[in-house]
Amino acid sequence: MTSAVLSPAEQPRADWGGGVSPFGVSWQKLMMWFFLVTDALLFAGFLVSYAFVRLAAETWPKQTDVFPMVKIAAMTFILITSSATMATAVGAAHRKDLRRAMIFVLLTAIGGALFLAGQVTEWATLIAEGARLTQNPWGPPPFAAFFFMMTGFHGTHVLIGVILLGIVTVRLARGKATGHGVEIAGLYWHFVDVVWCFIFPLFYLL
Amino acid sequence: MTTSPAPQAPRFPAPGHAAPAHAPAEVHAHHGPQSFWTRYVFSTDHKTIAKQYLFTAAFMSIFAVGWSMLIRLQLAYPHNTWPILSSLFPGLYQDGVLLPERYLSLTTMHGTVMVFFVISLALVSGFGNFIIPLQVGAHDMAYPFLNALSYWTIVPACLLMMVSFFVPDGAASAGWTAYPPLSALAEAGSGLGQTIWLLAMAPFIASFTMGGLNFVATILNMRTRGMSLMRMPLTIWTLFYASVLGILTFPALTAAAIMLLLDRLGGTSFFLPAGLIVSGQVLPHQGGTPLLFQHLFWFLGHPEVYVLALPAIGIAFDVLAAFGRRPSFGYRNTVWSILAVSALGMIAWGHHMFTSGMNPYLGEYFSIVTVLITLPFSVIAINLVASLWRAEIRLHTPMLFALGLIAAIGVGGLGGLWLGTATSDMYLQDSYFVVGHFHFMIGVVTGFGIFAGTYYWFPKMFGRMMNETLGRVHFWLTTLGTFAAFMGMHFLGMGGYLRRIYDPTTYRYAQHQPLNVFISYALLLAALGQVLFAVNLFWSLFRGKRAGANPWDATTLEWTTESPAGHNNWETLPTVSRGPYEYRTDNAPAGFHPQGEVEAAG
Amino acid sequence: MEHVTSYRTYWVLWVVLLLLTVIMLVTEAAGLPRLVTVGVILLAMTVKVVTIGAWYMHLRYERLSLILSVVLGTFATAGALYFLLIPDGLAMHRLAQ
Repeated sequence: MTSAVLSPAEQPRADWGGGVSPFGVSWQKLMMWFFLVTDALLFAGFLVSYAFVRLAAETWPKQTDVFPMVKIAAMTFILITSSATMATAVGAAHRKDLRRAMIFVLLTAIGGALFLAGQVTEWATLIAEGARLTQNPWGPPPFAAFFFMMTGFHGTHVLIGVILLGIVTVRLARGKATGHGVEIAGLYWHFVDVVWCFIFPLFYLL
Repeated sequence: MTTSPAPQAPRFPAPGHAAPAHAPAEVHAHHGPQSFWTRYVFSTDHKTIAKQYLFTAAFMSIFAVGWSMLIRLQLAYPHNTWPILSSLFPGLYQDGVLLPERYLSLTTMHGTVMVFFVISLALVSGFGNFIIPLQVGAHDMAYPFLNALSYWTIVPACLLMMVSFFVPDGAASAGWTAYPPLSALAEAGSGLGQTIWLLAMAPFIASFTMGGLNFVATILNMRTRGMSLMRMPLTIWTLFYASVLGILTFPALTAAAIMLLLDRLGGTSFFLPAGLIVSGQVLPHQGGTPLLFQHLFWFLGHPEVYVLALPAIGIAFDVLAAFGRRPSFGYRNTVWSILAVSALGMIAWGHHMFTSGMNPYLGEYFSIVTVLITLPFSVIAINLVASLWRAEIRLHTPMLFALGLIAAIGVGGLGGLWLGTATSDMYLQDSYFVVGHFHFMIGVVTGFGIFAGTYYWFPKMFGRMMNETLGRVHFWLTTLGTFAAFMGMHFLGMGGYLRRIYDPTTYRYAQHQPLNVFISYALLLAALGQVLFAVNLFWSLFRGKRAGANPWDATTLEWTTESPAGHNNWETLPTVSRGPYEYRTDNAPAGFHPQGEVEAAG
Repeated sequence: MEHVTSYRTYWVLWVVLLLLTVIMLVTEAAGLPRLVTVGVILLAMTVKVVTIGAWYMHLRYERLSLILSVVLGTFATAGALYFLLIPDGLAMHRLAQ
């Protein structure tokens, strides 16, 4: 195998052969994807713990008695809509239509802020009804604790996303942002939506 | 051989992507930053960051070893008084006697700091940062700024850990595993130190995740032309799997740590069952279970063992090939075995919990998976040994440590069989057999990996060789000391001697005090060996023999650049046309083929 | 060449996602047998996640290697955690009763 050494120029260029990205994506996008994997697993840790504690519990409150479902549904709609506007913004940024991209990123950020506002009022209502980290008027205390922890962590992610989108808006307004950059910010935003897609049915519905 | 100056390939000829504007190759000018602060302190150069990690780990290890000496002193002479220690460490000793709760702090902090702030930092973050760009042929890590950020995130974590000794109630004392309810309840005796412990783990996890993302992105995306996956040196493979394991399993610990913190500070009951009674008081907690914490903790904890041990094994493979002057035995088998070990290691954590009240069917499953790991791990161990077959050994210090590592894997691995099987583990659980076993696997194996790597790459880091004589004495003191001590611990465990016991003479059945004294002296010997290492390190930094580009006649890419490697590693990236270990080939004039040839600039 | 999805696709999918959410809510309120409720809601959840991942996050236009790394990495790990913790949760439940 050592006798016939190909010169570098003659070597076949395989996807995994070095010198190219094996996934066909830049390292920025790759890193964002892998970051999303580890962040998703953090939520998986919370959700699995929730499943564990709920299975072990003797009783569990009926969520529709606790949560105003219309409001939660509205929040879910808002978050899904914000994902759609984000996808539109990424498409526009790739088409070099920076104005449209900016408008839709801004709409996304507003959607995120609305979602957060809904979350804050929901917390306020539940706290007024007597829910605390340590106690839960409707049954076992871990119910309230998991509620505050999971929605709190998801809300923090939304907040970070809104800030991120604000930065992207400014960059777009100055003509600095690239389609690639908007797409990476978009990945994060869609991820926040995906996490809600898990939390909403698993915590609020089932 | 023909080396035609191939046109520099665009880094990302990805479908449709214009190359990102800030690919790292363009970030760096061809000369490095000049001011002291940007060059040595807030540097984004992977080699400087690697040295920062390594020196931080060395600094932390002084404390971790020091604490272990205090622990061994207590275990060897539990009834003596040491007035001088009272004046030296007024928080730990009172009237010359080590406070029992501070003894637990010492074991906790020794474990935590050794695992997370010495071995992880040195082996994964330190050598990983140094060697990944050099061995895959990149100018720097994928995202140099994130790399610097990950180092500067670890600094407050280290400081927090150290500060926790000086708060009321002392440092964390719930063990490095931080099991609730002890770690969750202030009433049960875990004070502010435990909170700080948790808060210090947070930046550590963040830093390790950032580092891991960088490692994976660099290894996958930044390899130079011709560096196909099956041409990567085994160090790179092991660091890759270690990073992937870290990315996949650390989130579970993050979740557990957050919930534990809420239990401590917010009064929640994630890990606290109903009916806990502390000092006669029934606590209001209900609904949780400590078993959940154990699962989440060991979901990280077990893969963490591989995160630590695999890079050491990878370094040993590199060193064995270079100093045995023969290709590493069964390269492909090793690569796939490392994958199998990593994958199985992620679903085998329950063998740490056989006596926890876990569902016994689960225990049976975890037993089987754990014993299954033996298969790929044996392939790795056999390939290590077989890499010596017909080798022309050059017995330099790195090689000595690589050989010692093989021995330690043998001893530690055999002990693992006993502990991985539920039936025998029921007896050995939480005994000194366990302590001896994991000190072999994540103490001696990883430690020897770090030493082998340091002696091996020191010339590449600082342009000077380390002193051979001192190195050999260091090796023998370390090997004799640690092997005697940790093997002795296996016997103690067989005798039923439990870990985390303040006074070893408490139990009538435990009549092994002479062995305890012997272990303490053996470890003192090993610790003195480390003083020689420190002397060697600093002496060689300033007085060591100047090293050429390739002082060991090694094949991998890092030896094609000058020693110490310059700011961008190479002016023009080398191109790779061979496997990593082509030693002793017939037609090579020097007896070996370097993996890459540096293209003529232009 | 990067695949550029038409704006229309995004908004058609938006309607699909909203409908799926409505289906979830209706199923929950309909008082069907527990097993059916759980099945429908989990199915709708999976479809939603796949839709967002595949179209909004452009995963279906990436190489298979990236799709597998991300999807398997996440779901195999989370699945291992889930399925190996559940037996203990059930055992704790039996103990509690």
